[in-house]
Amino acid sequence: MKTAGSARDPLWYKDAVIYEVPVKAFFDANNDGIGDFPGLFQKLDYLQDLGVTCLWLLPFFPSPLRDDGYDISDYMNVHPSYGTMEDFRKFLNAAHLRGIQVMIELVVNHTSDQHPWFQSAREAAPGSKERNFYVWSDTDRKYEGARIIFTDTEKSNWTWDPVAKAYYWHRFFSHQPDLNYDNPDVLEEVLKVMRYWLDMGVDGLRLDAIPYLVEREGTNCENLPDTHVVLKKIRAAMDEGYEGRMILAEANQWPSDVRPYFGDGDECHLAFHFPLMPRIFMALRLEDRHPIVDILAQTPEIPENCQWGLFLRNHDELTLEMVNEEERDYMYLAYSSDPRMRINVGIRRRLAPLMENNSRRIELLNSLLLSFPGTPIVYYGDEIGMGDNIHLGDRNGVRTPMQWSGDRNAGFSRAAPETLYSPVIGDPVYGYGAVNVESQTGEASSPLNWMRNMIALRKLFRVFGRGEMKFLDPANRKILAYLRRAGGETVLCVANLSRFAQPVELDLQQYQGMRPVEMLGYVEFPVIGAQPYPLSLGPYGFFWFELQEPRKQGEIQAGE
Amino acid sequence: MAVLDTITQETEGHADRTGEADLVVALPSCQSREQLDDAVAGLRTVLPELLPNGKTVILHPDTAVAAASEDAGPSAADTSLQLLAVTMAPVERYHQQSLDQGLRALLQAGRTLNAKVCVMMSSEPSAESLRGLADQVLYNGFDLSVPLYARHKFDSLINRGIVYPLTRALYGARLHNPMAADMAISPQLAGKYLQSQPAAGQTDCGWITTNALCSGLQVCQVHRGFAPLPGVSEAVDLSDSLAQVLSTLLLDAERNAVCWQRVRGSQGVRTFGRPEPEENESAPAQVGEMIETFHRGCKDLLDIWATALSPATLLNLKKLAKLPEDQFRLPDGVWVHALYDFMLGHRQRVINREHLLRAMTPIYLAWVASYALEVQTFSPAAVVNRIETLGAAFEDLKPYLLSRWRWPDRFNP
Repeated sequence: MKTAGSARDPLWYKDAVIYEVPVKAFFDANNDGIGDFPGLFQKLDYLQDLGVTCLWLLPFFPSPLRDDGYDISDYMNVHPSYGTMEDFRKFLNAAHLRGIQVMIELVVNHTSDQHPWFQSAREAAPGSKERNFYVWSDTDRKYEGARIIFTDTEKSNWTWDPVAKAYYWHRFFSHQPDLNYDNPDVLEEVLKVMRYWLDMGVDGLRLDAIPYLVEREGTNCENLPDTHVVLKKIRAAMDEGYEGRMILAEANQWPSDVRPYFGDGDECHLAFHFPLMPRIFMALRLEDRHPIVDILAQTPEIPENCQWGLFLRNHDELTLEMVNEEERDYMYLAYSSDPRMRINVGIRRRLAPLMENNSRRIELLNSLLLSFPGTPIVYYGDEIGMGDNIHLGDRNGVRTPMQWSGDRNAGFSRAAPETLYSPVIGDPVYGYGAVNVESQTGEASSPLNWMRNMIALRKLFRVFGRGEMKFLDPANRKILAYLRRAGGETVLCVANLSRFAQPVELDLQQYQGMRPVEMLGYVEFPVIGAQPYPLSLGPYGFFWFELQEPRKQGEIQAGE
Repeated sequence: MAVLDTITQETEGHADRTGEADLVVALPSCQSREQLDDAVAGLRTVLPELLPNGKTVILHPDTAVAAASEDAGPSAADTSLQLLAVTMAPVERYHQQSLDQGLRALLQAGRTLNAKVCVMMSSEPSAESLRGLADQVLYNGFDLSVPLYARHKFDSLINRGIVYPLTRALYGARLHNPMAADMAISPQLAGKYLQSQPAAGQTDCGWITTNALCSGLQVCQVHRGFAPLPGVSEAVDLSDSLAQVLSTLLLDAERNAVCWQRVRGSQGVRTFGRPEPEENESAPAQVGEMIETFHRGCKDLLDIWATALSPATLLNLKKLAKLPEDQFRLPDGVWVHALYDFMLGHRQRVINREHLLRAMTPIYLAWVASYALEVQTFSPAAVVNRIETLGAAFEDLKPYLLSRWRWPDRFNP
């Protein structure tokens, strides 16, 4: 039976505030030390209160869990540690009842080597349909133009399989063989998986690692035209059978290379803006708006029905693939003093430690996230300023249990601490005793309540999700000022990237006669005149202003 | 009072078979055969003039008047008027969920019948009322027309003290009876209302008046003389009614925050018909019990009030409690601050929402007492001016509401 999606507006993802959450890390309802769907179900009220409108669930499918679930061995089930299909359905319905959409992962580039498709393929005869589900070669010298992504662990994109007596292709870990999209049966199977979840009512799919779907000799095997043929077919199948659903592309590429993933509005609805993220951090540290303005100037226009996905942090490292070498060196020096903070081509740290727990810096970056053109994606725990643990391997240091309270195991689970899937953060600054939902809920000035208020405020103004952006160019480069405009509504955002108070004069001549009203406190500022508009901002301060038109004739002001 | 509860599938089928109609009228208050006969007979007199050669369908309750469709007025040969039985459930006034269901039934029937206007006549199923309301939609291009009743100075005080000024401040329209149970609705507004499906987990999609105002549709009011006596049982508790009205308004405000936060000032609403001639009344206000209830509230409910009210407002209420009856005046600013604070407390769920709203009753009675003492010697025109002054105070303090709505913080003045 096909269940309708929960969103009524087909462009709902433009106004969404997405919350990225690993099921295993959120709440453990059965006290086995691992978060699960019944646990997530119990915490839906929290998420609704926070104001997020879409949950992005990291992979929760059966898997050997050698890459945190991105090595899937069964696409149409729930990993037993996280619950049952019934638990998932119950959670999905409850989320929809709260007006929250749900996005899941569709990992289409590769499977686990434990997936039955791979097990059949390695045993099947060369050239057979089963064998051709994956990319095989007698030599490991093909596609040499393709870079290795996981440089810390992999030496080649080919691995020898003694059963198949051939090399198989993998862009990520060697236990994650790439699917072969030159075999039409593969796409058919992927579409079956997609329909299975969409039929259930899932609202969105995050397509993982899509630049790597297709391989061609003599290329770098990324962003190839045939990849877009596959994506258009996936999108067409979605549009044909379902309304109000969405595809989010994960393509860690330059904006001009990501642009084709939107197609003519007939491929992905959303795509992450990877290069923007490190430049936000860079601009803050340099106290100079240039990196942000520069990358957004290089960002091409996208179709009307498409949107950028914006984030500050996620479950991976703060990737530095989309910066140049000098910028990368600067970022390492600025944000990873301890070499253990680095992994692959990036920095494995959460937002609060990156900001050295400075609340004004955290608030400033979140204000940018919520006001830049795109759909903001908040990583679980960042709303309360959770820390990380660089002593854990891989990127597990940013995937620790959600800190609900100061109780044992941070209130995440009642299991014995040694049975938790990961130790909780326990240090004096970021540990659960100091940083937890319970204490922050009751404290009006807490990071959690700040985030709630900001999300609610953003949701009041559609211009943030739908409007165009125009930068202003004040002389003081420590100030980032931009206009968001849509449907006659104009919002002016001004941010001070410096640790000291800064003056600025803004050229707002175009808006002469209008009155800026500070949006958080609804405070009226002086009317814009012919001269540059002067403002002063405190350290890491920011303003959001509605520019209000002068009163229309006939409109009666109370008391007049 | 009753409104349509739901239109049965059978009735929808019947509506389908009926074909098209220009006018669909719902008469939910006709709970007996006699009432229906009287109402239909009255309405028939105005139909030829209102809709020459037009076709009308009247929806009526299917319980007490099961056989009405066969012989309650129109003859078999009279195809210009048809009666249609629908399922009814008695509900109380201001009950948004039931009104929403009733309206949906009416508007769905209107859509099925491709009607030019749908008219809900819950309280006053008279020919004059039908003509007054439907005319504006049929011939003057309005999307919603509601009655504007003349009021005696002590009548309809929840409307005067809360509903009217709050709606005016939030949505910018000086519409004097925003929660009218009678109304005429255009197909455009009907379409928007039916389109705005209740959100998942919610049971309604908001008050139709605010739907119309937020959609930028044309709204008008029509003088209808003195209001008919409400069908609400005398036994209805004031706290129940107040909580119900406030709940409806506040849920609607939450739903429409994106809309009303952009509205500044207010504008008059086009008004048709003639106002009722003014009658001077000299009615001494009996407010002793109200003030006593307020005093009890100050004693017993202070803790609850403190969860919502700012310290300055609480202090002002405590000062008010110390005044003798002849000096008992609740300044507009304090009343508006109190109402806005309750609104914000409701939004933030500082305590159980129903408990919070019920706890407002003594403060409301303080306002009623203060108002009654102030206007007891006023002429009707002066009373109108007084309510307009109150409306202006609601508008003046709207920035306070906006700032606290946007940045909720207990640390307030």
